[in-house]
Parts: sequence; C-alpha cells; structure tokens
Amino acid sequence: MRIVTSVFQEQSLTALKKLQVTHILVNELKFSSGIKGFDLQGLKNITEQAHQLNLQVIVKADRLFNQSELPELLAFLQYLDVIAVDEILFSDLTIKMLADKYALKMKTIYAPETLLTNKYDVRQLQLDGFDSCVISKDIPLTEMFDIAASNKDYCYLRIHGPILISYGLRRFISVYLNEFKEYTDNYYLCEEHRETRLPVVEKESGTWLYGYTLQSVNEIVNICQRPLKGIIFDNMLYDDEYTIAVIKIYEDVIGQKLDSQKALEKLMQLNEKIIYTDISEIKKTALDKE
Amino acid sequence: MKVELLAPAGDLERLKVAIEYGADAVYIGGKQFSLRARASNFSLADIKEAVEYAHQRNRKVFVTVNMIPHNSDFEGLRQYLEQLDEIKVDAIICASAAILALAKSMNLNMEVHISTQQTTTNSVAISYWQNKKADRIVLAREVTYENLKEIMKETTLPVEVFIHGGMCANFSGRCVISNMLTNRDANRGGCAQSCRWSYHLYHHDSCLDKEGQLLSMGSKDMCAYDYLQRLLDIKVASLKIEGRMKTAYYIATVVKAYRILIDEYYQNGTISEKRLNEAAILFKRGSNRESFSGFYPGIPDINGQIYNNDVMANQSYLANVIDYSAGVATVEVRNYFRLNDRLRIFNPVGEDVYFNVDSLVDLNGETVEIANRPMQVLKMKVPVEVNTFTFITKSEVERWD
Repeated sequence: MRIVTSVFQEQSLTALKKLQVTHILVNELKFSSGIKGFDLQGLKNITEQAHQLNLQVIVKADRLFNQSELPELLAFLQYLDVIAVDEILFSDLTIKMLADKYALKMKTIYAPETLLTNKYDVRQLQLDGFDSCVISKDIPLTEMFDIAASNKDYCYLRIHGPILISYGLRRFISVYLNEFKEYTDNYYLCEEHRETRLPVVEKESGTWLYGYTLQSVNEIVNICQRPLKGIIFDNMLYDDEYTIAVIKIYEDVIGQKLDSQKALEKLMQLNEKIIYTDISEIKKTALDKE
Repeated sequence: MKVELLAPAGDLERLKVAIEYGADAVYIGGKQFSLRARASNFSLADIKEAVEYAHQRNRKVFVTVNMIPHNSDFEGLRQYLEQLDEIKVDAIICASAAILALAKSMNLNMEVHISTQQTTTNSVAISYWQNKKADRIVLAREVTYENLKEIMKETTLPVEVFIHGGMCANFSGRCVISNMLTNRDANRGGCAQSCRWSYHLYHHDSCLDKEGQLLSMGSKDMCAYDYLQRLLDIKVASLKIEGRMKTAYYIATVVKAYRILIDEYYQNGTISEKRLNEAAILFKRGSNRESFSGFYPGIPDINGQIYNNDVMANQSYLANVIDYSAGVATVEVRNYFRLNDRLRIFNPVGEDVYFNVDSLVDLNGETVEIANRPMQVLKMKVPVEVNTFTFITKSEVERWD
C-alpha cells in the first residue's frame, strides 16, 4: 500500500523515506489550496531529490479553475510533465480533460473532497480513465471500506490531517476586516455559541475552512488490511516536523509498539491546540433536523 | 432558440403558479434522491399531475435527483427513473456521474442535466459531461459574466445559469459545514445553512471581531436582472430561479418579472428602463432578503455579504383567491389587512388593479373589520374578474408607471 504524505521542506525527504513513505504530496501555491508549498523551481528541485530517494511525487492542484485561468493551468500541467512529476491530485475535472487532450504522462488522482461518496461514482472514474481517486472524508468508515472493496487497489483514504469543510471564492476575512491581504496561518472562526475554533485560510483565490483534524490511530491496522491504493497524511496546516512525528506514531501502532490510546495521547502532545476527530467518529449524516 | 425561464416549485400549487405566471419549465423534487429534504416534495402521483398540467400548457417539468448519493441511496433508483420516464418527465437534474450513466444506459426519453452541485466552472470541465452524453450543464454560481461569455464561445452543450434566488456562501456541493456543526448533510438535502450563523474571528488568541458585528459567511440573495440582457445576448439555454422552499407569491412575482423582461427582449431586441423598473418593483414585493447580482460582476465584496442574518418580514402578500363569482372574490387570509384598506390585485397577466376594500364579510355574511387570522376565509368585492392564481397584496405607493 502506498503511503503518501504532505511535505514542505526538501530536507524532510530522507526522514520520510526512512518511515516507509512511498509518495510525497507537494503544493504549488497558485493552483492548490495550500498555504505553504513550492514555486515552479522549487517543484523541480524537490521532484529531483525525491526521485533520487526513490520517492514518487504527487503535486496537489486542488482548486477549481475558471475559464480565464485555463491557458495558465495548461502551461502549469505541461511544466509538471516536463519535470517528471509522477501524479497530480486535483478536484476539478478540468485537469483530467487537459491531461488526456495533451497526452500528459502524469497519473491522475481525482479528489473532489465531498463528491466521491459511493462505489458507483468511483467505478465511473475507472471507466473514464482516472488512475485513482480519494474517497470523500465525509462518510462513515464502513462506507469508505465498501467503496474500496468494490474498487480494489484504486482508492486512497485520507487518514490524517485537517478536514476541509468548505471552499469558495469569496474572501470572507478580507471583506469583513476591509483589508485585502492573504490570511494564512493561525486564523480561526468560532461560531458564537460554540467553542471549537475552525482554522480558516484565505488567499487571493478564495477561502478554505477546516474542521477538526482527522486521526486514525484506532483504525490504522484495520485500514491497512483493506484493498486501498494508498493512505494519505495531508497536514497542510502543520509543518514537516509534526508530520514526521505523526507517521512515527502510526508506524509504532502498526508495529504493535504502541496501543492506540497511547498513540492518541502522543498525538495530542505534539500540538496541544489541535482538536482531533477519530475517523470512526464520522457518522452517517441526517437528511433533516433530528 | 429562445431562452428557457426555469422556476422552482415545492409542491403542486407552486408549480401551477410558476406556470401561470410565465415559467417555461419548472423543477421539482421527488420524495427520494433530491436535495431540499424539507421542501414539501412531490409523490409520483403529484409528479404525474404536474407533468400533465405542464404539458397541456406546452411547458416542461424537471425532477431533481441531485443529492450526492451514498451507496444505499442507489436502492430503487433504476425503478424510480423508469417511473419518471413513464410519466413523461422532461429531464432529471443529477449530481452524480453514476446516475448519469445509469440513466443513459436505460435509453430513457428524458434528458439528464448535470447539477450545479458538480461545480462546473469552465468549458473544459463541461466537455467531460458532454462526452458522457449529458444533455445540459448547470454551471456553478461562481462563474463571472466575463468567464461565462468565453465559456459560451467554447461549448456546444446547452448551458443553464442561475439568475435569481438564494446563494451558498461557498461552492455548492463542496461545503459540509452543516455536516460538521449539526450532522445535517448539506449534500443530501439537510443543509442547516450554518454559513449564515455568526462567527468570532481569531488570529492566534486575539479576537478580531468588529464592534457589534460578528463575521458571517452568509450571502445576499442573487437578483441578476441587470445582467439579463447580456445573458440573453450570449444565448444561455436556461435561466434558473432558485427556491423550491419559497412561497407561491415569491414565485409569482419573480417569474412574472423575468417573463416581462424576456418577452420584451425577444419583441424589441432590448430591455427598456421602464420594464427594468417594473421588474425591480416586483422583485421587491416578493423578497425578504437583500440582494445583489451574484458573481456576474466579479467576486463579491462586502456588498454581497449579510452580517446580521436578518430575514426581513415580507407581509405584502395578504390573501389568495380561492373562488370568484359575480364581482365577489372568496379569499384566504395570509396577512393582516382591514376594511377600507387600499389593496392591489396581482394577476399572472396584465397590469395590477388597485381597489378599496369596501366590502369584507365572513362566510356567514357578517362584516369583518380586520382580517388578522391566517387561513381565515372571507369574501370581498373586487373590481375585476379574478381567479385562483390571483394574489391580493398590499398597495404600496410605488406604481409601474
């Protein structure tokens, strides 16, 4: 099974390789939701270094693209092909269509966040030539497993990282504060009658709102037994030091060096401000007020 | 090919109102597979009646099958699609490639339209759905007019765009705030509209709240009639009004306003200021929230946001007509009015008629001074013939001319 993890610094690659990571997930700042990431030259450099370590590179370009951005998007995709990026993770069908039309060599991973919630839609992706997909994180684990079992070795599961709960083009913070700039790290929204702080990121290209941080230490052994193509640690709000520590914890759970309760305690010690939700806590949602 | 004016309806009554006031097509939800779980959705028998009513008047009915489905949601879907096709529904609106593929594999007569939930924002993404034999694409509301103009040059698939109604704060279909905060599934019909709630804004531990005004992501409603002529010029296939949960009166005012404008465009090649002013008055009558032109001018600034989440009470709709005979209308009361008030008769076709309530009696013939009991049935003299599609409304000072 592939182990995919976000990375923000070239010097983290060796440590990740030692932790049996097989693929790195890197952001390009303009075309992804990421608040940290690489410019074009940086992508080239980290791709070369990763390949030297026998790590494969997945570039995340998970925004939705408007008509006027298409020429620039195409140029970006062609550049990724030239620098030999292995795969691209995206949420806009546009990228798959451009990859086909221009015969790009990169593999395609469709990750539309909310939209892949059943095995039949995933099956359609296979028929349409998508190389793989990321199952929606908004459905119960049992349903994720059903989808994976029906589409063997095709699906990725996000198992750790902040959960994106909303994405749009409006710039809520700038508009509210009447001050247009990028609001990236450590901004939060807190509903007036609740205490949970929701990380919010605003860039020129829109606003991304996150919920809790997903963790799967209780279920990782179970997950690893499923016919998944891979698991993803996407810690876009945190740094590589955190990610490396997290993967070590999971590795210890899988290797039975750590039970899941202790693993969770260790996770919480990494950053006391992070509020976790267990992947098995994602419930079947209701259709109306209960 | 003339543009289609596509109206929402939450029940049969509202569907009939939409058609009588000038909609070319109406979209409705069934009991299953549809967003807007709280709308009073249609049974199959209702859908059949709706289709017959619409087809007799040369109009169309689309049925939403637009939830983002889970595995179990597919149970009974094939049979449901067969039933919709049998009763001659004109199209389904879906948000799933699997549902599209299923419908197309069944060789149904009805079209399959791709919902805005799929967040299609450019012509290349449209081509994905066109390759899969979709019959129409409903674009994301986030497409600006300048981008739409370019899209229309690049695509041959019929394009449907929103012209009026409620707006999601973020991409429709890509938002699960409601799921997280209330466990109500935004993508399967249970959205709690949590984006409209008030939020404190923090940077680290510093609160950045403005005095007396918390942050809300809530959007003003869309009312893009100022872009109508441009949308008609670039030949979009359909103009969609949002609001399957809105009242019959809302639907009547909005549909009539756009009908007037669209008809003038096709008659004169342009839309006059006079007609735009008339339409503005109609929109004002039916609305209960501030509005703006959506994303057509560009990404919304503060003029697209609502921070207080107040819904303005709209009490201009006073009564609907349930019968008429010899100059006397039998009406069902919806909002307060009094004997001798000056009221307006709002009909599907033609100008408004203003009159004084100089006779108001209950079913026993007793004079009623104040009509203030909702659903109370009263009789009043009216100066013109009215019918069951007539609304009795307040007579504001504004007039069309």
